[in-house]
Amino acid sequence: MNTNNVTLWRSIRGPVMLVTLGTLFLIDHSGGMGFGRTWPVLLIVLGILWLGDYLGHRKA
Amino acid sequence: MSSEANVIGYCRMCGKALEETNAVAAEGTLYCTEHAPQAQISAPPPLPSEPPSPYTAPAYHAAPPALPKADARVSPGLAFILGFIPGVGAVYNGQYAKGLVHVVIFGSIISILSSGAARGFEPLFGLMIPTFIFYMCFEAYHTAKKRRDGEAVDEFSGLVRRDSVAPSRFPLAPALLIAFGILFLLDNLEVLKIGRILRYWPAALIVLGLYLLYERITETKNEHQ
Amino acid sequence: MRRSSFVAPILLIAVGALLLARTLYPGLQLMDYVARYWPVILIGWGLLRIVEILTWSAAAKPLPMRGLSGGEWVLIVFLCLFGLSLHTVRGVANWFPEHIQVDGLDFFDGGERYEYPVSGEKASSHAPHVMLGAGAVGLMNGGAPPQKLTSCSWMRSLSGSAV
Repeated sequence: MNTNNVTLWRSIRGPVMLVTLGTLFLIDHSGGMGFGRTWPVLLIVLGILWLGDYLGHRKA
Repeated sequence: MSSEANVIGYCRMCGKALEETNAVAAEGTLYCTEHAPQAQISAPPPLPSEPPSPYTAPAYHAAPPALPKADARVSPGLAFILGFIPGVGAVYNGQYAKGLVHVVIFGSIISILSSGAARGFEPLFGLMIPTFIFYMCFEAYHTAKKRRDGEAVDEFSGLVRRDSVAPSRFPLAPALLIAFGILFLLDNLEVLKIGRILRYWPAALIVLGLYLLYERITETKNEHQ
Repeated sequence: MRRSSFVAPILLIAVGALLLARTLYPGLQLMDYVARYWPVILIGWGLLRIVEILTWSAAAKPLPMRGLSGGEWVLIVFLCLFGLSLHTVRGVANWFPEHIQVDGLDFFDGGERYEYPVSGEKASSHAPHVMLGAGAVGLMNGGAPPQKLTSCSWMRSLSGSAV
């Protein structure tokens, strides 16, 4: 357990969003579906991380 | 003055040549008696501890300040004027992340309008532009007023009442975010067009009403306990 | 970057290695790779940071409130703008500077330019036309007796024995 009340979900949010952003751009540049169509994935990932943080707080 | 043979070093502050008699060792280097730092003359200071760490300090502040002082130089009027430029209103109040979010929202509305992605909803997005501009102005104005009167403002304070960590209620914001994300994704993937769902928009009013009802009921239940 | 984070030195090493690779192989189309694969920098950065935070979590150390600081987000925004513009103009020109010289010290030594002959011969059923692509020239002919094309291509190398 960590020593302060910051959940893992909260502190991992930034880097996971960064990885998602990079993956979407990579898919766009390599000829897959363009970023203009795949951008909602960012919203979904952000929401999941937010939810995880909320649930993590609830359990604590 | 002393001969070269007796000089053991030079004062860190003034450069005066020091001998053993008038050299003061402090903080790992030599000072003359005039410039020696006051408190730590005898022993070197402990290993530099980390500055007020963001890991252990409460809430948002890296270095937990005392109550913020009322700042009379902050001008709510200027904040209002600057609020017309997307992002600048928040930057005037020192809320840089919020400024970036404002710019992104404003740019998104304009690009949705100009790219033709609205497809019939142009009036809605067109109305959103002046609404959002005035929202930015008033938000900057109120935040500046709070700062001038000495209240603490965090990064994302705003006109809309927000609950900070409220674990007892249903997590509305993340659920909404996931829902919108899935909705837009399905629309982009041509699986489920938003236009077909948007036809039933009054259902959203009903859902909103039910949610507010649920909120009121649980409030009164908590009060009775 | 946070003072105790090890992501910044690793990224610095990676950037240095890329530029060094260009010095060792002057013919390397670095701008082309960067324009196509720049999101890998973002992904690598994020993964390194995730691994770091996971190890902190396993070691029961206090977790940071923000995984990426404000300054890092500014860097990311600039990186995205830079990478997207590079990608948009990709293929228009290979404009990595061949030589940048300061007082006789060459920072980007692009090597010397060596020319070598190329020739080709082809018969096909299409109407004769010239095809241009990626530094090579080809002649497509149609039905006529096989056409021969001789041309000259060039490459860069630090020494003459590369070909």
